[in-house]
Amino acid sequence: MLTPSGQVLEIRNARIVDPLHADNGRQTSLFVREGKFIDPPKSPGITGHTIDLDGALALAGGIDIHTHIGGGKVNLSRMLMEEVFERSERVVWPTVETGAMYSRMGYTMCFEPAMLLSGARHTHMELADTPYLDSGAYVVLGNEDWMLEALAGGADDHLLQAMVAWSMAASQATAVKVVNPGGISAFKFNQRALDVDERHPKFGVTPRDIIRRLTAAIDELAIPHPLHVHAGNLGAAGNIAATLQTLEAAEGRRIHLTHAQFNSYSDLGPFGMGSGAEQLAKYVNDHPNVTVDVGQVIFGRTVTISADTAAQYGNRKHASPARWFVNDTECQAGCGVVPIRYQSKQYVHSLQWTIGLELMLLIEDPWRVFLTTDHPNGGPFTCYPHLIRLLMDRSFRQSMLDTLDPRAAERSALRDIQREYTLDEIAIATRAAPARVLGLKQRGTLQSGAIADLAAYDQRKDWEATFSAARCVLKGGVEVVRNGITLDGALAVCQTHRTEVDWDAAQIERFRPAVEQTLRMPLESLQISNGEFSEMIQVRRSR
Amino acid sequence: MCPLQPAETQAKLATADNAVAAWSAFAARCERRTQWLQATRSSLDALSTLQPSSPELIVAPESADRASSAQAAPAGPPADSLCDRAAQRLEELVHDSDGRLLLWIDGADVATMRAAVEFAKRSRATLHVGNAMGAHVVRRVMASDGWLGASLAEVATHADLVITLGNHTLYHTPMLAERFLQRCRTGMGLRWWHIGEDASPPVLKSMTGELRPERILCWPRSEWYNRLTELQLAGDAMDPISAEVDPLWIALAGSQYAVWIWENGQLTSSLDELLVRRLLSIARLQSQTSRCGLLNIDAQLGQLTAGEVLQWLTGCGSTAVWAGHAWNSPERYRYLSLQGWRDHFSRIVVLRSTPALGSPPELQADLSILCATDARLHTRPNLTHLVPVAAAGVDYAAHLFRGDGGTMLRLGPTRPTNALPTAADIMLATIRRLSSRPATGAPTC
Repeated sequence: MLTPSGQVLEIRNARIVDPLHADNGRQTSLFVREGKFIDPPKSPGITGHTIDLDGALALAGGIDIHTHIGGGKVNLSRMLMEEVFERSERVVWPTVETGAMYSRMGYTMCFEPAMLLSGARHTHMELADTPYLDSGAYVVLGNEDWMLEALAGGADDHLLQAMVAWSMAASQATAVKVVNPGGISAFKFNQRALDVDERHPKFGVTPRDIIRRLTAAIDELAIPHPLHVHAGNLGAAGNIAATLQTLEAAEGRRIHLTHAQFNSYSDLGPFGMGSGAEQLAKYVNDHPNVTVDVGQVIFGRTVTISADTAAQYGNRKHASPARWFVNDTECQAGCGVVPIRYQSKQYVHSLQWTIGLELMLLIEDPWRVFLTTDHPNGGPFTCYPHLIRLLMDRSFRQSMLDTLDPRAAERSALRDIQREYTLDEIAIATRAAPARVLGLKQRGTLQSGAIADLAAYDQRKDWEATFSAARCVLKGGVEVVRNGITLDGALAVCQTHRTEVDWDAAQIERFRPAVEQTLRMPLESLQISNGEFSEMIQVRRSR
Repeated sequence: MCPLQPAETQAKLATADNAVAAWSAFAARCERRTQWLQATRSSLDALSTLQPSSPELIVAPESADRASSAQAAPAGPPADSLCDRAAQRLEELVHDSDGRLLLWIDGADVATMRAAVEFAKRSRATLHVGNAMGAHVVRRVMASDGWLGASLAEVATHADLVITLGNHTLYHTPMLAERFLQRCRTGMGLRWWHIGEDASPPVLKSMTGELRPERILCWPRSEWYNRLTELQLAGDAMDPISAEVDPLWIALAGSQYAVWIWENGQLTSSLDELLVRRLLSIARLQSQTSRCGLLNIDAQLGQLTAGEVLQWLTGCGSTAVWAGHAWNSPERYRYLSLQGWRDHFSRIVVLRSTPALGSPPELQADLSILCATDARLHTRPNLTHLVPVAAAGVDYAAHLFRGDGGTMLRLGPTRPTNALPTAADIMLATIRRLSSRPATGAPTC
């Protein structure tokens, strides 16, 4: 239902779940005008339209900080879904379905974490065609030939900052991500692994160098979101040591470790693999500069998609069904797609499942740990309600633990963890904290002045049922979901969020030759101008 | 010179300056590019000679005066009237088809494809990205076996051995060497070998001396599969390697990053599919000790784009039909011949928003929406209705994937805006017309 411009929408009987809101925990009314929450109007009877939530839980719209929903890899996995998977098993959907499914769950904003410079238009096009969601994307840096060459040549901070800023501006990105720093490039020179202090076979830089320089550049450029790090040695037994070294490489600067579960393995246990979650959790607890998202594994069939071709090439032997894709892409990164089935009776998969939950429960500050499955790598985003139940309901968690491979279950710290997430902590982990770490001041909260993204849930028999389908979802103050069904004809304006960065454009001539010589095209052809972005991508209307 | 650039890069930059000059000279001599430009001019001239009362054209009578200059597109009738008439005709076809309308996409930019998908959803038409047999071969191999690939910049920068397969690559991607194989000049670290049926393909005569394959393996087409199989087995075989294959085996054994390249139109049959599987096996074997990838290039502008957009919007790669709640790709459309397509549908619309040299397939279409730059526009006797539209990337700025899929670019416009509607305009106008009608009947599947 559209409220004519200027009129006020009243949302009655909302039970507020927002730790930032003054009425948190209480049942009250919320008011919306022109797409934003406002203070209660002084004049009674001013409202143009009313939605009665009948005491439903009212949270801000969900924000998924890391989900693969747009771009070349995603489209390749869609092809795989179509050709190989039964419809009921598909976990990567067309863009319209993706948006609708997220919306029905109460999510209003999602971020694609792996956008290559050369693939930026494709990524933004797919995000633009994903309705009901605001979106953004992180540009992948740290494996481009020109940047590695510059680092090897002792590039000064101004040059590096210019490279980072230009990449963000050209690709209209929200933030910067590094994937297996230097490792993807090393694989192109036939080096199959690159440890944190190991030198690149051609350029001679180490992953530590790359992390150190990029975190410094991002801080200097005042980019709100820290360097979003997909650490090297992903999935390798004993990788926890390298993971901690990766975090150390930031030298105290802000750093975000993504899908941390995949980088939290000790070398103690059956098959030389055990949980390193306690080590990582302790590190995060002791270092306030670190944030993580979990990358929880959910049992069942899924597909792993990643720019980390080195890791994906290594994963090829686990492909189920047995086909895999690895593609080197434009001297920037790669594209690896490997289908997989996570099985509860398989030790390593069970271990992965326990590690993700251990991280969520052992990291004390809910503002620094985010709920993700690294969709679809750990599992589809549609499993978030299941994951929420695991976090909030210890008895359910224990019952699930009993279904695992016993070797993983008996070794897991989960048996002894009493903690249950509260509603407030769920709201933080899925709304307020992602908004904060991304620098989205008007999101993740129901406070006055915030964008009116709201998700209301009727409390049902368990938390999974509760969060599976929203009673009502507002996107910018427009109702897009009612009683779990997306509304046809809802006209909600969706935006693609990008971060504007101040930088010295004169520096561009210092790296232009290297980029153009590598990609064999003018620099300008890579740049998505604000005009192009505004016309075709930025403002989109949901159905 | 940037003081921070290592010496190697400085050498590369100097070479790049020479390459730009060489590229320009080559482009002027490129037979295919010249052919395209001539065809474009002749089609524009031909469009201007068409009689306004011609039954083939949906144009207003006042369109008699048209610009024939190659620099400006034909002015055409006012866009609104042409667009409206085309939309009216398309709406009639939807109504007449009784749910059996085929929208055959022969090439499209992103905007056109988005509109086409929306139209297909509204009208329940079956949407098919056609004429892409080579892409379908690769897709089938990917789906059953997977893939190991590389993009063009990787070839330009990292590869030390490129093997082009078939003359399609030479004829249909004429800029490949000049833009991406510069390092095959002596001493720059890239070897370029070519497998073809001619020892000296005419197209190579237009290439500069340094930018041509180091070696051409003249293999009969019928022998490609056998020889590639021999190549794959060469490491393990007890039998001696044949003289035809041995040099290639040695070259591969010594490479650190090899890439096999072909143009999609080169490998289109079911037998070719076996050959592509063989290439994948070779690449996988090679990747155990070094790096190796495959690169199939789609030279027909808009083919790849149409397929990618269809995939992300519908989840279907080549054929999609809206079933009321989801998109389906019916199995019965998988391997249809042209006659099969004609038989399955009562009304057929062909759409191509991207310029091309070749004609769309002979589908006896009830409506053809084609670029005004289409060289064959004026020579199709079987067209009952033809709508000339603005060309993507030429008459208006359009988003298109590069033929290797490595990037999406915004191309054009290359000449002043003309009055022709775009294919997307017509789709959207038809949707508006259909929206004012009751919804069409039962789903087609």
